[in-house]
Amino acid sequence: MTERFVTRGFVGRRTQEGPGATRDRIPPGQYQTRDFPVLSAGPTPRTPLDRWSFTIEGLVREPVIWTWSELMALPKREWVVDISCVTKWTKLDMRWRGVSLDTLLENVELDQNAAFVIAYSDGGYTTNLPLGDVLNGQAFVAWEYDGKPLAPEHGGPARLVVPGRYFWKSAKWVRGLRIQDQDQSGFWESLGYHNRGDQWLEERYSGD
Amino acid sequence: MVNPISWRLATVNGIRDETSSVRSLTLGLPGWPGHRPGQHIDLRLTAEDGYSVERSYSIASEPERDGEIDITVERIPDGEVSPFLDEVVVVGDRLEVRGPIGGYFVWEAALGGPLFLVAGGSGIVPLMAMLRYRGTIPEPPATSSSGPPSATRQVK
Repeated sequence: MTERFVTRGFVGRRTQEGPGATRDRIPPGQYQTRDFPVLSAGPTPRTPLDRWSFTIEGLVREPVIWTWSELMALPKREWVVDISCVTKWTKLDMRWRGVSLDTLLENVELDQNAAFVIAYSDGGYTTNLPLGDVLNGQAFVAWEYDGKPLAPEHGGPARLVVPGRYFWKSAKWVRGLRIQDQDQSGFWESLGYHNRGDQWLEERYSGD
Repeated sequence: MVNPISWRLATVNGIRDETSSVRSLTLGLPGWPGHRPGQHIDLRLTAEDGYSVERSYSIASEPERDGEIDITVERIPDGEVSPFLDEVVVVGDRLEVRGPIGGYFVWEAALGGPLFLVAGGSGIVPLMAMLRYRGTIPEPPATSSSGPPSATRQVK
C-alpha cells in the first residue's frame, strides 16, 4: 500500500504542532512525550560502582578497561539531544552528561578491519552499530540525566546514547564495546527489529 | 533481504465494551498470517490533509481465529488515538494496520510452563492473548494471573 488510506473521522490532536521548529524535530510516526517512559525486557541490574568497569575490546591492538573513577576523569561534556523510541515516543531536549565515544576510542588503536561495534551490557543485552554510526560526536556514554546521576531504571550507572537511532540502540547498563570486522545482530535486532534503526527513515522492523 | 511488514486495511467487524474506559475492536484481516500470543500490531491513522499518527497495540485474541484479531484499547483521556478508537470508530470502518510484530514477549505451548502472568492496566492485553491461546490447547500448563483492580476489571 503506497497511498495512505484516509481514516474516516480522524482529525488528530496535532500534539506535535506548535512552532514549526519543534514539529520538524518529531520523526515520522512518532508523538512527543514529556514523560521519560521505561521499557525493559528483563530485571534491572545493579552493579556497585566499585565493581563496575567499562571495556573496549575486540579488533584493537590492546583492550582498555576503565574503572568508574577512571571513566569520570575522562573529558566529559553536556549533550542536549532529541530521543526517539521505536515504541513511538519522542522526547525533545534531553540533557545528559557523559563522554563521547570519540574520546573513548582515542584510547585504543583500531585494527584496519574494524567496522562494527557491539555494545554489551549487564544482564546480557547487546546492540550492534556500524563504527560510522558512533564516531564524530554521534554517540556517548552518559552517567547523568537532567543534572542527576542516571537512575538504574534508565540504564544507570551508565548507558550508551546514540541519538540518531531508535533508543534500543542506546544500550542501558552498558559495560563495554566489542569492535568487530563483521556485523552481528544484537538482542532486538535478532528479534525482528531493524538492523540500523534510523528514526528519520522509520527503520523500525526488519525489512523496513 | 527480509520483506517489510506491509501496511494493510483492516475492517472493524465488531466492537465490545470491556469497561467504561476499555473496549475491544475486532479487526477483519483476510489472509492474516497468524500471530504468536504476545505480539502486537502497528496502527496508522491519517487525516484528510495527510496528517498521520501511528501507535502500537497488543493483540488480545488467540491465534486460532481465522482472518481476524482483537485489540483491546484503554482510553487515555488526553490521548490522541485511543479516544478516537473509543468514541469515533464504528463497525464497518477501515483502519490501516501492519503486523504481527515482536518476537520476544511471546508465549507458545512449546515454551512450557507453568506461567505466572502479572500486568498493570492495558498491559494485561498481551497476557489475555496468551490465556485465550492456552484455552485452545489440549493439555495446557498451569497458569495464574493477577493485576491491579483497573486491570482485572477488564478480564471477561
